[in-house]
Amino acid sequence: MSVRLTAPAVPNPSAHSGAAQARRRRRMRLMQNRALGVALFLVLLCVFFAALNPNFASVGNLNTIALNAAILVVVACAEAMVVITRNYDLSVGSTVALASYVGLDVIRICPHAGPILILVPVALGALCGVVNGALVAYGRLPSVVATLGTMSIFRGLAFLYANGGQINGKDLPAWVAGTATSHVFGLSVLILVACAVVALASFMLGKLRIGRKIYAIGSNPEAAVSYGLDARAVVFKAYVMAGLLTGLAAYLFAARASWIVPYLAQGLELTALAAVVIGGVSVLGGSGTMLGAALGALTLATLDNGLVLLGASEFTRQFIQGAAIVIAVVIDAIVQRRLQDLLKTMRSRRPA
Amino acid sequence: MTAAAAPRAFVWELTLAVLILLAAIWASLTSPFYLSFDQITFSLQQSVAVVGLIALGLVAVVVVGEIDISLPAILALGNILFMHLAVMNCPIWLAVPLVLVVCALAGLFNGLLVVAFGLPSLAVTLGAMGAYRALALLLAGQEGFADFPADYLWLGSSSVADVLPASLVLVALAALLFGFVMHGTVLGRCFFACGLNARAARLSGVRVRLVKTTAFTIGGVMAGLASLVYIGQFQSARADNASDILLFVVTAVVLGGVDIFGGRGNVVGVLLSLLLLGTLKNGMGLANVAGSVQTLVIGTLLIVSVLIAQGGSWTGAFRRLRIRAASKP
Amino acid sequence: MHHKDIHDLAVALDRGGISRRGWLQAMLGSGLSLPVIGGLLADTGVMLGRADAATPLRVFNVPKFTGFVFFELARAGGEQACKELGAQQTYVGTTTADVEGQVSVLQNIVPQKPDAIVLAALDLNAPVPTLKQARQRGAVVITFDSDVAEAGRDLFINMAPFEVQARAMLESALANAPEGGKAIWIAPTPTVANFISQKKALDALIAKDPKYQSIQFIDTLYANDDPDKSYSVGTSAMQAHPDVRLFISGSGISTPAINKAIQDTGKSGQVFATGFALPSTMKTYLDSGTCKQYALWSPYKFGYMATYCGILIKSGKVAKTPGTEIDIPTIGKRTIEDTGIANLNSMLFFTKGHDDFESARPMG
Repeated sequence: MSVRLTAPAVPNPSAHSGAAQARRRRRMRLMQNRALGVALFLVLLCVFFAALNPNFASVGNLNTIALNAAILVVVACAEAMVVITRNYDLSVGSTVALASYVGLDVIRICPHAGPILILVPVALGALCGVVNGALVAYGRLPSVVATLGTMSIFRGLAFLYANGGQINGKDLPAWVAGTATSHVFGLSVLILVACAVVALASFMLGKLRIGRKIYAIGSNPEAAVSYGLDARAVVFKAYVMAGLLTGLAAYLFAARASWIVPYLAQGLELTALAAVVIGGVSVLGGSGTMLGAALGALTLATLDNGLVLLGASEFTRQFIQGAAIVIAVVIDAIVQRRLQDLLKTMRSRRPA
Repeated sequence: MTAAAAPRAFVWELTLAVLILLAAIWASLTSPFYLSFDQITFSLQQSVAVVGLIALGLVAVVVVGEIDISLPAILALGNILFMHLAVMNCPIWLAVPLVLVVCALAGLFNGLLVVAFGLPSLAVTLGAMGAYRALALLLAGQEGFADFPADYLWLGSSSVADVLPASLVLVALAALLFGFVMHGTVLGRCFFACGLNARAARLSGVRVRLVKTTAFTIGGVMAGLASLVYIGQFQSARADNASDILLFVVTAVVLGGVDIFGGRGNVVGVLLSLLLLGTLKNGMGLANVAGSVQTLVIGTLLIVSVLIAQGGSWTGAFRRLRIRAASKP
Repeated sequence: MHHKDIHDLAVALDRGGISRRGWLQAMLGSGLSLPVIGGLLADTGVMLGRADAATPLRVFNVPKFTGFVFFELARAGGEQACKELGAQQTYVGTTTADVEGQVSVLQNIVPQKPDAIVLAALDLNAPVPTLKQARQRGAVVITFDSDVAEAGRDLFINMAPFEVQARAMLESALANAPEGGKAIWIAPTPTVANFISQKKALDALIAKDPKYQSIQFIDTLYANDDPDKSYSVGTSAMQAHPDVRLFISGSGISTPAINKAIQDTGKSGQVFATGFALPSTMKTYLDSGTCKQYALWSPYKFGYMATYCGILIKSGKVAKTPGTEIDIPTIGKRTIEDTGIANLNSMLFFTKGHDDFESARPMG
């Protein structure tokens, strides 16, 4: 693995004063906050759609977008967690299939145990995360290889377990479907869960020690190890947390679907990766936020919804989605470069 | 170090060869239909030819330290172009270079984006994948197409001297050429140098950007070539062709011992891993193993074999843990 | 240049990138793979004796993908036909709707000298070269649910002529919304032949029969045969077209998912999703009144008829020439049409209280 040349750009607040310097620093902080850029893009997108179709800006439609995005937001946070450590998780779709089928089957078998059983699919997701994490962190497999393998394995297991069957909604206790449809304070539970996940994960990454370690490992693994971090433990924990979130998403998928099948969520890994990339999380690790990933997911959902509203063809939909990803990474690269230039000028002007 | 490493260099290839043998023995034990020259060549042609050409292209990209997941989408684009050229009665000697050029341009475009902006190739080609598929969809229209003239189909459906499928011969020739270029020329060394340490390569005068762009372009050309084999084999062109082969291609490359981070790997290993995967698929297919079990087996094989290739990581990890525990005060 | 850089460069230039690894690992590699292979051996060892005992006819049933209840029911029907006629069925398929994967499954069937292949094709053309080979070696190829080009098969069992399918969908639509209204057609992708034909038949029937002229298609959307995608497409479409009355889909996966979307957004009674769907997934919506009627044929009988015809043709008891009448137990007499098509043609309507295959009402 080659050493990444870009150091994490942290301005030194005690460096020195001066109006020009302060302006530069402000500009830098603004650019560093890539979630802001995504939000801006999202707003522009909404204005564009609203201008072309008046139905777009209605409360009902915005609510629909949020609802459709909610589960993807959770998956995107899971994926981002791993991507920030400079790894990938290509098995999220298969994890969702396995955790939702087996987990909901347990709920079907013991309907009287109550909503505590939500923990079953969540735990199954975490277990998948443990497998991925062990392979990547302790087995030292490249994450692409490890999760490509587990993608097949988890999917295969889901199919074997299902054995040609499906779980019908009518065999499940009512609280399962209720999760997807009930409202608290006028807001859908799905949206609240997604917001809670983003808030908690942001707090963890931004404020807790493990979060700082995750960023450190991702931005420069070798430096982090020399500094004394146990890189493997950090990567392992990131995968387990991602698995946990994916398990939660699996439950939500199951609750929203009217019946559960082992071919659920095929191709989810690429959608999640797309959301993460659009959300400004660098696939080279070390930078990006949960809020950004969530906004990326929201952008994808907005695109999907808006293009349906415009009556766009399947061709346009696929093309725009692909182009959005490329544009997002190009912008990201340009911002990164400007950031480094700024950093350089600031350093060179710093008094000795 | 070099002297010690040299005799051990082909151990992974030997391991693969042993595995192929075991898979073949297993296949012939479980199915009485396995052991037949025609059966084996035909099955390998179907399971290995298209995937093999794309895998070779991917090897070039992966060795320089990048990845291109849009290759199957470029293949689909090639299929649709062949369809339009066939409709226009374009002779095959003109159609092939045309399609190859377009596919090369698609690969080149990916490469330029990656190199010019210093972008992560996974993200770029994820986007490009969507764009190329969409383009194929736009060009194809709704209905599929099947009326290819015979000379378009020859490569994917005929045999050389009635013995060896032409597409397998093509894969072998392509692999030979690749092997020579990668392991026997200065350009090949540049590929490896870029993948192993781009900065060091640049400092020693390798034009890293040019090398990387070349690798992406080669990937595109191979996807175009694979497209010619595809239409011969399936005699069908649709925008969503080959949308599920990526997993198999990456598996073949990684199982062949190519380091996904670049700089290491060789063509022989990839050929052997293709043979192994082809034999396993053939054996499991003939034994009517359920699809879910097949998926499971390929996934397990990938992980287990790379774990072993990593150099006994488990034993190593345990040893390191013990040492760390012992060294604690 | 760092020391590491120089070292890396030296390694690259010196070895052309080929890497290390010990003999011990090689042994370990083969050793660890043995259990995998051993497991497979145990799993399939039973096959050994069977292939040689070549007395019963061997039928291969290949679904679009495994794990979908529709094809599992068809498989059970095929099993029953084999039992009655003394044949033996093998069910093989991929876990995803993957065209190349399906062709590869077929390729592995060809050397096993099948007597009949019963196939629900994923592509009109791609399986044809392989199917031709199978036929040259004496196999009878029956397609059902979705066809391949005529050169690739002996007989196509269609659920019903496309016009009848269209009529069943439109009848169900009117049963839900008697005054008609704006409708949206949901298909998996733009390229699936079956759905293109269904939509054409729908348009033609609406143009022809004044009874259905109150139904007006305003959009076609694609949901990839995926429950969650169908759900989100459904919710978005209701926002895009606040005046939409009907979703019509030939996809057994999309129809219930859109019903769920209608129910969840509180639009039950204003918007209806109907078309084809499986009873196990639709009972909830019939009971709650979100859907009043939808249509399907029995997948069990579908698989039964396809397999039954395959075995009869292979054993020479009936000819596959157009005009031949085949008498199929529990289904009745069916005639082979000019293009080598026979229709199951027993469309069923599902309504509240008549919500399974036994109690569903046959279409008049």
